[in-house]
Order: sequence, then C-alpha cells, then structure tokens
Amino acid sequence: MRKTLRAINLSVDTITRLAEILSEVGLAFLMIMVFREVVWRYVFKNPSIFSVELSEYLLVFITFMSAAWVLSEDRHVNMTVLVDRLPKKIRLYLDIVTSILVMVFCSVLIWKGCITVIMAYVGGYHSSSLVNFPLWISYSIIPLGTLILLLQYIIRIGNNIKMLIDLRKT
Amino acid sequence: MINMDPGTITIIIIVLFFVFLAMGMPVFGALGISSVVGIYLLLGPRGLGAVPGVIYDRLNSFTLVAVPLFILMGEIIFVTDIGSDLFTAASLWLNRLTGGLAMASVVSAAIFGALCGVSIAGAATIGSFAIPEMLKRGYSKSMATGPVTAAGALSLLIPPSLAFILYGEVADESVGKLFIGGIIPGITLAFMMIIYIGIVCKMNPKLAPKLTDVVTWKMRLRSLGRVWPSLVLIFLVLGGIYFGVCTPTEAAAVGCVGSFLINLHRKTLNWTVLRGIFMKTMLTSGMILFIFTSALLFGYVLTLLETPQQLIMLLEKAELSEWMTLTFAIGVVILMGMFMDIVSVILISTPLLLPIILNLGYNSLWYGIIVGITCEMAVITPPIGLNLYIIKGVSPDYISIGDIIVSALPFVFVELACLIIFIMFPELCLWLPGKMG
Repeated sequence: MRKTLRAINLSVDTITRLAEILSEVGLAFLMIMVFREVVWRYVFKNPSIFSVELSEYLLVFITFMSAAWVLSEDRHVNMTVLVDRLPKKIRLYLDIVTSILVMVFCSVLIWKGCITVIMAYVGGYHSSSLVNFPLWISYSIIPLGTLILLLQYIIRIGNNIKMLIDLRKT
Repeated sequence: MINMDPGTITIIIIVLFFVFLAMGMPVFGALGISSVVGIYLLLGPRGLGAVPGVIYDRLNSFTLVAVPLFILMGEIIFVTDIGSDLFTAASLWLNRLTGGLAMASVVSAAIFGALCGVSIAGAATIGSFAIPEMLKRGYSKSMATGPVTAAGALSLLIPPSLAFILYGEVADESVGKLFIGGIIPGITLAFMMIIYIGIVCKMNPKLAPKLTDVVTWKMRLRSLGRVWPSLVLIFLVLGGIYFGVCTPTEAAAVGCVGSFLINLHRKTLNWTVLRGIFMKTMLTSGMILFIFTSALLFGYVLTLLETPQQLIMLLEKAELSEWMTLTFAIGVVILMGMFMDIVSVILISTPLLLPIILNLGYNSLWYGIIVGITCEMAVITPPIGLNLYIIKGVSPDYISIGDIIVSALPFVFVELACLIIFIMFPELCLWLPGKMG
C-alpha cells in the first residue's frame, strides 16, 4: 500500500516536472520566434504567416503546462492573512476543502475540454488562417494541462492527510 | 433548471468568491469555481460547455505573449549587475545633495523599472545594495528603506509594465498607448519622491548625513560607461513602441535578446544561471497567466449576468455625483489593493468598474493609467504589500517589517498626491500617447 502510494506520488511529480520543462522550452521558442519575426519583417521585409498564430498556441501551452508545477512549488497566489491566524490542524482541513473545490473546477475544464477536442477532431476543424492548423491539437492543451494540475491536487490532499495523521500522533 | 434572477446570482458568486479567498483558496481557483457556479445557476449544466472555449479564445492573444517575454527580460537583467551599476552612477551624480543616496535609489529604481515590468525585481535589486550602503553612511532606518520600497514599484508605472498589459487585455485598450501613457506619470512620481526626500532631509539632517567623499567629474563620467548599454536597450524597446515600429510583444522579444547580449558581453551567463532564469520566469508567468485565465472566465460570467449594467443603474439610482462615483471606484481599487496582489486587483476590478467610468464619459486609457498609479500604493500598503516583504528580505535583521511599513507610509501620501494630480488633469497623461507614431 505504502509502496504504491509512493510510486504514484513519484510518477505525478515526474509528469509535473516534465510538463514544466516542456513549458520552459516553449518559452524559449516563443522568444526566438517573435524575435525572428521582427528581424524578418523589418530587415528582410518578408513576414511569415505562421509566427503570430504559433506563438498564441505556445502561450496557451506554457500557461497550462506550468500550472501543476506552480502548484507543487506552492506559488499560486492566495490570501493568507486570515488563514495564517488559525491553528495548524484547521489550516490543513481547510486546505483539503479548498483543494477539493478547485478540483471541481478542474474537472469541469477537463470534461468539457475533452468534448471540445473530440468535436474538433470529428468535425475536422482547422484554424481559419492560412496556416490551417488542426484545432483539436491546440484545444487538447487545456484538458491535458488541467489533468496534470488535478493529479497534483490529489498529491497535495494526500500530503495534507499525512500531516494530519502525524499531528495526531504527536 | 433553477430559475434565479441575474442579480441574485451575481451576489451569490461575488460572495462565494470572497469566502473562498478568505479560506485561503488560490485566486485562480476562487475565480474559477465561482464562475462555474454562476454559469450553472444561469444556464444549467449545458452552459458549462462554453467554459474551455471562452478560456481558449481569450487566452489566444498575441498581446498577451508580451507577459512571459517581459518577465523573461526582467529575469535576464536581474542576473547582470546592471542594478548596482545604476545605483553607483546615480549616487555619484547626486552626491552633493542632502539625502543624495536615497534620491539615487529612487532614480536607479526608476531606470531599472524601464528595463523590467514587475515591482518586486526593482525593489529587490536596488534594495539589496542601496540599503546596506545607506545604513553604512549613517542614514536613518526610515530613510534607508522607505524610498527603495516605494520606488521599486515604479516599474509598474514606467513601461514595460505587466500591470498595463493585463489591464489593456481586459479593457481592450492599446497596450502600446498605455505604456507610453505611463511614462509621464512615472517620471512625475519619481520626481515627487525625490522632492519629498529633499525636503524631509533638509528639515531633519539627522536622517541623512552629508557625504564627505570627493567625487570628480571623471568618476561621474566613467560611471556612465557601464550604464549606457541598458539605456540603449530602454531606447530600443520603448522607442520601437512609441514610433510604431513594433508591437509591445515584439519589443519584449527584442528586449530579451538585447539583455542576453548584455549578459554575454559581461560573461555572466552559464548553464545553471540560464536554467534559473527560465525556471523563475516560468514560475512567475505561470502564476500570472493562470489567474488571468480564470479571471477571463469570471469576466465572461459577469457580462452574461449584465453585472456592470446593473451596477451603473444602481449608482444612477443613488444619484451620486460624478466626483462621488469616481472616488467610489478608485476607493474600491485602493481598498482591494490593500488585501490582494495587483494582478488580481486589476483583473477583478476592471470588468466591474471600467463600464462605470466609461459611462461617466471618461476614457479607458486614462483610467488604466489611474489604476496603474493606484497599484503603486497597493504594493506598499499592509497587510498585503509585496514590496514591504521584499525589502524586509534584503534588509539587515534588526530592521523589522513594522519599521518598513512606517518608513513607506509617507510615500503612500506622495503617491496619493500624484494620483490626485492626474485625476484633476487627465491631459497630462493623455498628451504623450496622443502623439504616437
């Protein structure tokens, strides 16, 4: 039991790190692509058709791919003035409650996001620009990134329960 | 299907949002879940199908690409020693004046603000060597910490500014114009801070002892030698936007490459530093963009519920005068700024308050700049004033957070005075963006 839990924990963290590294690479690409476009447009007078569109997809990509990692680093902004005054036990319980509520939001995004992806795939939707990008690919970023965020929330709740048990022991 | 009138739903979701926030839920979660509840109550489960589409369509914006890029530029600049060079140069040029070092910290933070878009970087960089230097020269605690705390926030007002990109995106206002519009208020505010420091130090010489070291013109000119690449970079980025050569997003990419070149020239880059830059950028961008994502959804729900129209009607029924309404709106922003980070303040208050302001016949560019000045106060007022904690982090241990709050307090009033000037004379901030190419 304990071994399986640790394995789950480790694999979710690995996925989270991987997604974060991908978003860092995405960020580097974003910088290079936008800069390249400036040079091509003003120096060679030869703007490309794909640069703006691809950088928008990359923006969605880095936003959703880094979300789980930001959570695991506990850097999603929250207001702690009130919560900080509570005893540790209540704080942990509250964190579990809020985590479950956020997971409801994540579930809506994943569930409805998947439907959007399936509809775009079956319907063969493409972007209306010259790039003609298959939209199911860019649509799938939202449910995918949110799924990793949801998994990371499960880990967080697990950690909180573990801390609660430890508190009871002492 | 539950039938509820939009007014009730609005109240429910706004109350829910604040309850969740008070429970310590992340801002993005509180916005997201209360939006989902709002859509469910208004349209039933089928309405939720629009959620991913709304987020996707609005996040898909080239202007918004400027957010991670300007954060990246700031992080690249952060690892060079440009901050300390700026402070050294400014203190050599201002050393004859009473309170010269405090003034130099304002000047260098303002110039640093033109290189980066987040308030904390400026405060941390300039603060970490300006504060020890001032304490060593016998400056009082309050004079050593107050000016840096307040001036670090100038990067919110002086372009490039993250606050303006986010505002521009929600308010559908040109980010380029907001950037250029922030220049005059930013410089004005910096000057007002300098004047305040000058007056206070003249009145009470104990705060800032006069410096006795001999500074030659040669030293002053030599100090510029290390500063000029950053000045060129500022000119490239802002000049490009002002003359209409490139969009803010493109200017950000140019800025990133330019600051990388400065790093290469100074040989401050290696693999570990590079990884650190990208990781820190991703942390900050991921956090901001994710709040933005659910704020978009929240804004969408408020539009569905016609909340802004209802607010306008409510205010008209109350027969508030124009000035009262304006004071109310700005008061709400100031109050929110005391309890929330500025990203959330801008993203939550704008869709609610901007329609009211527009209804009064004001222009959204002007309001954006006013919000920018208000954010200056938000980051230095307790209980949630990010800059206060940043400065605490770079100060010696014997300076308490209470000392820093007190030392920054006079600057809140300086900023309030600045805010009133730009409310009274909107032309002052609208003039420069009006001349853009």
